[in-house]
Amino acid sequence: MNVVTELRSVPQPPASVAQLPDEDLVLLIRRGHSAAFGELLRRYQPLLLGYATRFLGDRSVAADVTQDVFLSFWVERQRYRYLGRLRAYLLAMAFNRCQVAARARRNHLRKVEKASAALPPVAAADTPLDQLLHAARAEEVRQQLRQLPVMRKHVLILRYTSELSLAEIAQSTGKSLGTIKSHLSRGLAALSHLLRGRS
Amino acid sequence: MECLGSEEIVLYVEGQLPVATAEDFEAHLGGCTRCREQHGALIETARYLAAEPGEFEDAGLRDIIQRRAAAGYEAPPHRTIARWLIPFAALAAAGVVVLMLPFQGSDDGFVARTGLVRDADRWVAAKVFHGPTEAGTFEPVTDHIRTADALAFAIKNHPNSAAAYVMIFAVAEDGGVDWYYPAPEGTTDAKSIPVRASADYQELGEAIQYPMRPGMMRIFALFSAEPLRVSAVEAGVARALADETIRETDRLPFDDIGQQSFLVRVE
Repeated sequence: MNVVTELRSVPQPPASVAQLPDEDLVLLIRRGHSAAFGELLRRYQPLLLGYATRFLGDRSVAADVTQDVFLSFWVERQRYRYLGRLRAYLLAMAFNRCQVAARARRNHLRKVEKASAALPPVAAADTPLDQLLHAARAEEVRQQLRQLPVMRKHVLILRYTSELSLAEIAQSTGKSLGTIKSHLSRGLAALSHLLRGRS
Repeated sequence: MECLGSEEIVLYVEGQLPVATAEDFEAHLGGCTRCREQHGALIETARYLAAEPGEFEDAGLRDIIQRRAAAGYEAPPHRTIARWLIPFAALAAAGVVVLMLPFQGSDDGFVARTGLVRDADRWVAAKVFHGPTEAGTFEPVTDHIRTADALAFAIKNHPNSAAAYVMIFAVAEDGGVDWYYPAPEGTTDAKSIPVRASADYQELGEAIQYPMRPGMMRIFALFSAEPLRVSAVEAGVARALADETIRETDRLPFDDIGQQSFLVRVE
């Protein structure tokens, strides 16, 4: 009797997808398992939304980017082969789309002659002063971040917002570790210097 | 120990300094107000980039995505590879380098990489050839050329492209730039040459020879809607090489410019 076996058997629908490693999750997603896709969203939606928000400075547009990344992943799921870099793959997709969104947003703002440097509104008068200052400094840092060269901005966000290690960033970007260290050290030093110059 | 610069202090914070240097600096920090202030400022700056707990959790967004996926969301259709690209795919498989991007979505491929969605790149391409052989043929450049080689070029500027001008130049490891198109004009700040739209490749005249230096060299083709000045492009090259080597710089810091580049070894 000929027995046909797959090199890797498809796991039965699990009691809980939350316990599955990324590799098995992707295996199920490729077969259209909606709960597995939901678990993928739960694991990586905050990561991508955080990355896109820091990159673009607009949470609403960042949400669109995040949505686009996941839906594209879902639509193209048959083509994806897990190679141990799912997080890096999703972030790379987000980087691509953020670049496009940033360009579109710049063009749009020029067309409507809107003040793109509008400051967020001041909080209520009874907010403690230290909270106001913290929020103001955070917004200042993030505005300056968006002015940095693209790769430095990208590396800083991956390191300090997305909390990737330097090795993971190097893998994700395809750059050498030395280049990543250079972008990181120059980017953070420049950001810190800008803020100290303005304070 | 003397004070470290801000960039080195970042590396110290990241645990990327050599152990002996890090230990010396740690001892130095205890007695140096300036370095302590810089150290503190860098850490504070990094903290403002971090996400607050739960800041980006968005159950509503996840729900929207899942419902759209379940409802049969369809992405915008990818273009299939046009028939005329098939011969070039065969050439690429044979190790011939062709300066082109496939006319499909940038997320294709099954490994994580940072291929940018570069709309301006989608409808342009360029090819590089060795100068004519004795038989008068032009052989495509693979991954290396000789210092005395003449190079010839063909470009494609598809009718869907917004570009109307092209520049082709080579950048050596030391940042030196050799201009193929436009041709150098003494002290005049030359501009991109006009290029018509066509679905076919267009040859750009005869082979051009420069005395080249051994080492790595990157050839760029820039396609733009408006003419670019040589001086502006050379300034962009200098900016790019301030951060990376020519091996790493596959793209120049210009927006909305169709760019093609590839790295070649000069022997």
